[in-house]
Amino acid sequence: MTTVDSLYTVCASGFALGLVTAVSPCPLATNVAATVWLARHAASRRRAVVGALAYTTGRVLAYTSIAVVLALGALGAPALSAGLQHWLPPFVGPLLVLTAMVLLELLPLPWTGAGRSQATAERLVRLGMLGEVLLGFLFALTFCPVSAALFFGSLLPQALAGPAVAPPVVAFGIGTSLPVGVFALGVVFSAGFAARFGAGITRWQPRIRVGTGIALLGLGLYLIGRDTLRLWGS
Amino acid sequence: MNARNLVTSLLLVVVFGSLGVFAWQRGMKPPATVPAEPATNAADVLVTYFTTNVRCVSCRTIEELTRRAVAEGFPAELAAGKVVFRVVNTDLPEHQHFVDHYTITNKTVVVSHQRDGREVEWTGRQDVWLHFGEPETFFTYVREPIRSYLAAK
Repeated sequence: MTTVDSLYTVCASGFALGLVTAVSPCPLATNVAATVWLARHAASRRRAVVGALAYTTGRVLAYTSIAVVLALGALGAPALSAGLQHWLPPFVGPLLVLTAMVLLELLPLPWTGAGRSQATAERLVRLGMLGEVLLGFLFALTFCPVSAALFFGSLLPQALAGPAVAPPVVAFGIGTSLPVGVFALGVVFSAGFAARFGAGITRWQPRIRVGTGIALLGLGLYLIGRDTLRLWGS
Repeated sequence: MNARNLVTSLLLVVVFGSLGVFAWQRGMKPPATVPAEPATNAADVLVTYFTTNVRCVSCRTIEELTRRAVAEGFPAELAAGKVVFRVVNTDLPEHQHFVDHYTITNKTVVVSHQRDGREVEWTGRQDVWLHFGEPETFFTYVREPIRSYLAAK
């Protein structure tokens, strides 16, 4: 097998492992949260596509960062895997609840309010995209038993033994975000289609924001019960 | 206090209260009770399911399927103590050495070939995570190194 063939095989395997990770039960709650978050851009298909790409970029960056840390030998895979599984998941639920509270206008953001300039609004739009990158980054690092097994146990040994480390890791990141992106864009495009027969999606925007907030609140409370308080297993 | 303020306060109590409970639980010592380990000195093959304090639905399925792969595949050897199945919690300090020895990054199954109570070689069965939805494939995958080690004895 040539190096190119070998690289192609390991990338295909990485992509498939990413897909398996995305559709497995334990990351389901964070995937639904990401889908809801991305689908809130129903008023602009372009913004929704950019958001999905930003989310994918965040996930790819997270997995690549781990591979770089391991390749440099800064930390061992067992310690890094255990640390991420122990310390990140308990904080995701509380973070989602706080985000939901902002969307539902139960908590104010310090930089919002009357008299906001156009420049500030544009900065907030850019921050929104950065937010999607950060969301992808955070959710990718929030390893549950299944995602840790497939990333640390199945993908990384293949990638580190293969002709190049980065391509299969990037393929894995794309695989993990594909179902979320497809579902979110599916919702956005369906909403756009439905709006042709109604008064326009813009009128629905406040309801979409409230719906997103309620969905994130429910998912956040579920994750608090599961990962922060450990009331039941994942 | 209106309903809006009440909901806000309630949610903030849930958020910060849960984080407080999490911090408190982390500060507590792990339970002192450790499940009794089966005798392994006479074993030719040791099948270990490595777990942690966090148990997920898939993890329990993999543990159960591994137990069945051994019990239903090697009943005579299991009864004679030639094949031993055990569960080891790597979150317990006394089991930390397994993490380094087998480079354990997650819950997994390891099949170890023993001679006179000492390990001579081992095989990781990492792909149990890919096969636990298909029990027959899972059984074949876990039994293959057991069979091979028993034949080599």
